[in-house]
Amino acid sequence: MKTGALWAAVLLVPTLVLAQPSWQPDAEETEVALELFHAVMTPNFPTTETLGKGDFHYEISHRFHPSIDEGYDANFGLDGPANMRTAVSYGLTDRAMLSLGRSSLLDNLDFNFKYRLLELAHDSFPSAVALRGGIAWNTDIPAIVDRGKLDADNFQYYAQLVYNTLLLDGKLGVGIVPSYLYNSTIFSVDKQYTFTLGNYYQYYLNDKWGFWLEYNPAISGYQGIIAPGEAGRSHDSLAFGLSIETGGHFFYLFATNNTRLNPAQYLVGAPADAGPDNWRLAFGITRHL
Amino acid sequence: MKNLWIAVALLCQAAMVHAGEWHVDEKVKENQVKFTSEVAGFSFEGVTSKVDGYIYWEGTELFEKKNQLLFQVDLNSLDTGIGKRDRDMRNVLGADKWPKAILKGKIVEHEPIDSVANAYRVRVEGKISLHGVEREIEVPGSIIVEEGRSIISAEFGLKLADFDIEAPSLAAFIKVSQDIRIAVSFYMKHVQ
Repeated sequence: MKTGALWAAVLLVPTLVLAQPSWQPDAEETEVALELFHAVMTPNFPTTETLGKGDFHYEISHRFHPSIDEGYDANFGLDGPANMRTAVSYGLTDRAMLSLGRSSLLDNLDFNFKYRLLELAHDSFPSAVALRGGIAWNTDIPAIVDRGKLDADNFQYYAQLVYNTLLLDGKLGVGIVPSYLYNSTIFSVDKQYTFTLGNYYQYYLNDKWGFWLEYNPAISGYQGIIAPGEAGRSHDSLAFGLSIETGGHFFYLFATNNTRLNPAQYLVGAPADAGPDNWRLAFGITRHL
Repeated sequence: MKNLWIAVALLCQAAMVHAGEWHVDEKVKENQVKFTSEVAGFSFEGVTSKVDGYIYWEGTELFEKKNQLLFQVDLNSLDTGIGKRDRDMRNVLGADKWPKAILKGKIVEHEPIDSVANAYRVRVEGKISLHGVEREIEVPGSIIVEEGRSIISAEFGLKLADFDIEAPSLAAFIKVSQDIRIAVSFYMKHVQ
């Protein structure tokens, strides 16, 4: 009797187990790249974010010359004139992107490459590091300067290491961007360099609105003038304003003491200090395509 | 007496072992889950091949009794063609907290389609779980049974608000529609 029951159990148990789906969920999960900032750039600096492979990105930015202090008669500076930058970027891979931009100041043509080097997923201190290198070609050389457009002195070179982190439960993005610029001013007899320690802070109020601040102090090197007609010296750059994110668009509306746009010009510094009379209105609009 | 027990056990086994089970064949590249959203002339779609799951039933006939099914889609793998939009979509879906959309249910109807051999029109009733919210759903679909494998197709609609999902912006100041169309097509291998 006992042996028979045992036989029955031996035969029945496997069949009872078999009377269930044998399917097991796939344990492998899709890895999502660490996402810190919502965009590939702030108004003046790169972030560690890159475009997806095959994605395009367009930017148009203005820095108005008249200061806000000129009041209603100059429409707080919006009557212009303005320095303008327009740029297009392309995602080579999910980690690498190219950008080509042009600034109206000295007709500075900027070509740069950004690569996301590494990322560290951490609950309270996620981090990412990217490297950006670029070359700028100044194509508007005054007639009094006896130099062809393709002269080597018209070219500038820069490299930026970008560090980003995201704090306060994803609300506060922080960026630190040590930057090195070679041939800071194309009109100098001797080659100059500028080393700055850019830093920026973006607070995301919600999915749409945010505010931010950028500061780019020069640590060493050249901080003089960069274009004919300028006087005095350059100063550390400061900017702050609002960001509006909607769909693939970013709108940056802000005030700054720096009207220079392309990296090889911005990194030298602002043409005026951050005194109360020297603030200018500015904007940047980007579209991720 | 001993022989009687053995006979009973064998009989039970014979009765219980007949079951059908299909698993999604994840190696097939043509597997596709696609959602489409349209609004005011704009539209976009997201696609993934990362669908997994099973159909199981007992008995010798197709979906004879106690049939059940479960399908899950990896939301982090959805590709809309633009990296930024993928990221926004993952945020909207809360894919870090709820990385899968899961359909659990059973086939309540299946009938042969006259024009296609070994093809069946089916109706599934069950629950779909998305964004941490579970809702009853009814899904019409079709199954083509081949040697060793089957092809599943279905198309149905979802309303984002039903799952506490806020419609994201598609472009500046234009929000996507609340109504999303889902189309699935994938292969299942017969494991029993």
